[in-house]
Amino acid sequence: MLASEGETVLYISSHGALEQGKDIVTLGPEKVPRAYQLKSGNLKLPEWQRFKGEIDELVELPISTAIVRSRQHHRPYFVTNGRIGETVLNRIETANKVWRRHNPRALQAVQGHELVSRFIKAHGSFLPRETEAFSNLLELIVNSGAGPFDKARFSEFLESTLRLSGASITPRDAGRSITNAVLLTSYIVQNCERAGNHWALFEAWVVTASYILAMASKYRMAAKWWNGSFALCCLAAVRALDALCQECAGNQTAFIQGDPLTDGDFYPMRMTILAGTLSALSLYHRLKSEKWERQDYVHDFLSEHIKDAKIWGESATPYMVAAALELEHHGAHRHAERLIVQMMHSILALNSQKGRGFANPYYGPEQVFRLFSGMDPMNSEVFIGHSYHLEALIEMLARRLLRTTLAHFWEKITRVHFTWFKPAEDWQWFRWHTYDGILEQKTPNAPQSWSALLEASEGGPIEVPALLRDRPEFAVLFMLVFPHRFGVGLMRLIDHALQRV
Amino acid sequence: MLPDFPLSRRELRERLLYYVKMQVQERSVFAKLGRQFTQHEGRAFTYEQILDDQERRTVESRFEEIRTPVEFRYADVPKLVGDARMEKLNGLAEDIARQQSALAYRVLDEASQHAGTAIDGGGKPMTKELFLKSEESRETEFDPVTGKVQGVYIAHPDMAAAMHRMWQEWEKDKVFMKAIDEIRARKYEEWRDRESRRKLVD
Repeated sequence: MLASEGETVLYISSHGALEQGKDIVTLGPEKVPRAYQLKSGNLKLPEWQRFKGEIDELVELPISTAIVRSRQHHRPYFVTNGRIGETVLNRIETANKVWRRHNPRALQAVQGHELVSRFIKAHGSFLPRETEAFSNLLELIVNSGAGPFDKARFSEFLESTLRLSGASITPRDAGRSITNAVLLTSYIVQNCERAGNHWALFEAWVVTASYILAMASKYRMAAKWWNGSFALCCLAAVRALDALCQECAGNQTAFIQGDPLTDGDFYPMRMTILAGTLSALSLYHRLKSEKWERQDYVHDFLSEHIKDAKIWGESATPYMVAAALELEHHGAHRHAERLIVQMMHSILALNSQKGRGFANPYYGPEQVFRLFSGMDPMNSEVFIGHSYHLEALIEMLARRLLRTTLAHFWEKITRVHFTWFKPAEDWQWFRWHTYDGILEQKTPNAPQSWSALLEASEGGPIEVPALLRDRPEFAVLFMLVFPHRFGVGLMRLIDHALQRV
Repeated sequence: MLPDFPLSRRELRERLLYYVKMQVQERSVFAKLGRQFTQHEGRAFTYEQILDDQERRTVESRFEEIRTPVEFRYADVPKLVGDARMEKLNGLAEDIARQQSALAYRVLDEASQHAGTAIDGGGKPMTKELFLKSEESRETEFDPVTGKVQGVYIAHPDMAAAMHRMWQEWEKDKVFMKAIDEIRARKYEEWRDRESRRKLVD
């Protein structure tokens, strides 16, 4: 919304050292810096007293020069989506007189009703005009809630909103449609917010972030047109995972959810998703060199619950990889390697012989469940003979010098073709589905030279788009949400980035 | 518009198309024997063909469209239920299976030409010499437990019947059967060599 009102978003807080009471920093249309502190709910005197220290910092402390190089005093804003009590407004007025010594620009309070009217003002230009897109928007809003997020449908909606398939557009227009997409995402996920469905929120925001990279890559946009929106999406995704982590830490139901009669089928998948997402969050902070206070909790969670996780198909690989990388960081190398070997063993056991095989990464956990429990009777797809993730897992084990393990499995490995979908252009990487690209199948070498394998595994992140190479921390989130893009390139990128950290 | 029932009709249509798919698999020998692969993205694909000398050939290919005309007359539509509809769908499946098989034969022919395993009989009836030559030229797989030859012969039903009759005669020819055994023994050794290469080395 701020971007649509002509402000340039410069900084979005991830609660780091630069924050000093400022959640968002922008440059206003008049080129004066603005700092926002965001709260939720109604604010009365007790809340005001609790936040007073942060608000003092918001007003008095100048914005770090690492964020904005300006000698001007910033305009401070205190924003809530609820109401601000009369007493609090009086306190703000009084405090403004005191703060004037440090900052001549007074603190302005923004309440929920003002936010609503500003959103409504923006509606005219943000809502899709075509009937189909509008109907998709409504259906997405209605259908999202407690279940997995419908990434395929949401991606279709984003493609129409962002005008990805149309003729070339100017960077300014592309920037506008990106802002639109971010705002519409926030509408679409409101039921997920209400239900506290953090996993769905995480996936939704990563999909939007990915489509922003698609736009940036396709139209070769300067960072100023999209970076703020991208950072906002990443922040929303990370906050969703933070909330998930917090919920796990306070969980009193042994991670059981809903109807006990049916939860047994889904509990192991839930544990895999939790292990993977919490690990990914920890890896994200590490790759950003940020301190994060819940790292030990994640380690404890993995130590206790990874045994309950279930590998449902190849779309579980990124979750297991994230968990393994996190365990490695805590020195549990043997445990980490066992996870990867188990994953490889499952692929080989099911895909090198007869039968239906191990579902490919295009099938999410629920789709796999439906497929293998007879709830998708008209789907006759079989998966034997090939694997999208096997080669990446082999390389991961080679980088850890597990030669004997790989030698043990090599005979079976040669019976499974390495499969990889190569999008035609970089920007297509960030789309959920594309027709522009080529599906490649390779036969593993027989025999395979260990030294050649080792050398290859130490190579660079081949074919990974530059926008992803420059953002390994986002790649960790991306691989969970887009498991069909996970492969040798992404695995090398993440492994090498973590080694550097 | 006229009164209609789109939701149920969509579901029914999906079921009928699934029936056609299953019928095609039943009728197309390649769909039945070959390994199926569903491509979720892209319009092209590559795969590697391992040639006789262990060289690899990357084959790039695109999808080929199979079309089959279906005609519906207004007068027939009300009666197009039950057996009448199944008959129409079976005809559709038969035509698709035929086209699929033709496509598969063409691809197989190209691949065997590249691999040097193609033998042209010149349209003449199969002879012992030709059979031995074809056995010699192809790569043979064996069951690792029983040691039995794996794989199938694909032929037109008329040709298959003729081959069956011929084989009963050929089996009585000791020289021919000895030649077959020698080829199989050689092929078994080659297969063992190939299998023993499935390993990680220095």
